[in-house]
Amino acid sequence: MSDPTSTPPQQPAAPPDPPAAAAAPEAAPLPQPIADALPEPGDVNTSNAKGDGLTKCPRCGSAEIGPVPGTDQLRCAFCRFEWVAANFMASVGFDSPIDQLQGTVRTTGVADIDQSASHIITIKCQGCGAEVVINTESQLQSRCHWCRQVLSQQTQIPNGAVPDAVLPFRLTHDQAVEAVRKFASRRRMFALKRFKQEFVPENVVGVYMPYLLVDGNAHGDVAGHGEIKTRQYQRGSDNNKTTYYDADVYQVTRSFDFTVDDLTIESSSARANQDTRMNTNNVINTILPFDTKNSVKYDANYMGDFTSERRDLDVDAVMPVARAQMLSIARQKATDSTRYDRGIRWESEQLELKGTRWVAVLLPVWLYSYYEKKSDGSAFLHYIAVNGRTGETMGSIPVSVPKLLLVALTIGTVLEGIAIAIVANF
Amino acid sequence: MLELTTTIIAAASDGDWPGWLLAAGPVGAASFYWAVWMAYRNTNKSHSYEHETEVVVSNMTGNDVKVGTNNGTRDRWIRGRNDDKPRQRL
Ligand SMILES: [Zn+2]
Ligand SMILES: [Zn+2]
Repeated sequence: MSDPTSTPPQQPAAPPDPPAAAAAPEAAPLPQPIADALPEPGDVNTSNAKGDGLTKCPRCGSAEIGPVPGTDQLRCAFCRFEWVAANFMASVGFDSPIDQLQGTVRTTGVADIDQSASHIITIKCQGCGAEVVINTESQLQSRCHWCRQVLSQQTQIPNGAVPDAVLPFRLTHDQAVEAVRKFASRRRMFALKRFKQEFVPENVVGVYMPYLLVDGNAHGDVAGHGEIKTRQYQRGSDNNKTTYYDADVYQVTRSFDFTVDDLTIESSSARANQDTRMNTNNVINTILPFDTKNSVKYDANYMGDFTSERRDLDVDAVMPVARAQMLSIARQKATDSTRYDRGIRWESEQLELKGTRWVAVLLPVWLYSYYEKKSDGSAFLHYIAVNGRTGETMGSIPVSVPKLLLVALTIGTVLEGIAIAIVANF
Repeated sequence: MLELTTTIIAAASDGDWPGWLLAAGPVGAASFYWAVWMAYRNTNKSHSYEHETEVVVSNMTGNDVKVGTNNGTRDRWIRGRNDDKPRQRL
């Protein structure tokens, strides 16, 4: 948080004359649908005043701004000036103590989604006056077809596409390619032949995936029984001994306050579905956690060549998931506070959630995907996912079932042969 | 395969005759298949948020009261043990 690189850029001493159009978007009134979606009273306003369309370099006024690979920096391609957007949590005071949280604190970036809102947004280019259409399901920036300048969707819109914060890609494309290659090369032997033939790790793409971060101020009550071994002995004849145990039985109760910091929950309904019979989204879940503390205020210029996915779940929709995860955490913390060498049977659990605080964030994920075409004509999508910050990698590699069966049966046959030989000679 | 294994074990479990060894083939084949499948498909993996989330616990209170004994049991663990399954709802 005290990272010196995150200080705001110096005001340029002698800015060149900005084009007259540059001042216009800030002053223009919001279109009605956007104004409707904006802050419910009490929400922390994270909408930014940058305005849509051209975002100007703070030093030279050029709109050629993009992420610097491998860093959290933005760079002006024209004058080479580099800067970092402000740390998000600090900028809205979300780094304040969690144990003071009461009720549900939201930002405007997690506002409920208007299901009828269009994902297709028209941005007016202030450079040449053209109107450019972007599909916010997968992009938040586009080049103007006419003057080739980069246009950004900076304003929060009612369909959930624009978050509060973004965590920039730290891992470069080359590093992601290496991670994918390494993951797959350790799993060659039984991989589907076509997967190996069509394996091109360079096709890994960077995607900003939507998540809700939640801080929780909670109280947990857990109770059950635990056992401590007092004696262990054997009974029976020499060849047929049975082990017996004596144990003391305890009633165990635990009651405690706890805070949870930046629990990270999928906020795209497609990604939240982790039924492993239908998809491999669980491997994307597995590469969590991210260093979410370093998230910066959303700026579309972090998109660069990356695509984004749109949040389509509201706080109310993921609240049950958040509660369940916090209850699981409570169970784990209760267990951590005990020492029963024969284990515990927890019999009751309760969570009192006193306060939560929500942030919509885009997190950086490198994804390599492979469509397995099954013999019945259906397709199954396999992912190899690489955490765009830590490099943690997890994936699903399609298996050649006939080959695996053959080897498994061969091993079984050999083992059985040995077993029969031993038994026959007994 | 599992049924076959159970039958063999059941048939062979009495006496000193090491007939249970005959389960080696089916059990070995099934274990190998399962291990490779999991290593490739990772269907059992997920983010272990119980351990990897930043959590601060305070004001911990509670009791550990001896309420009896469980002597002469053949079970290695307390019956219904679930302290290792924090995600299983009670
Ligand atoms: Zn510049
Ligand atoms: Zn233009």
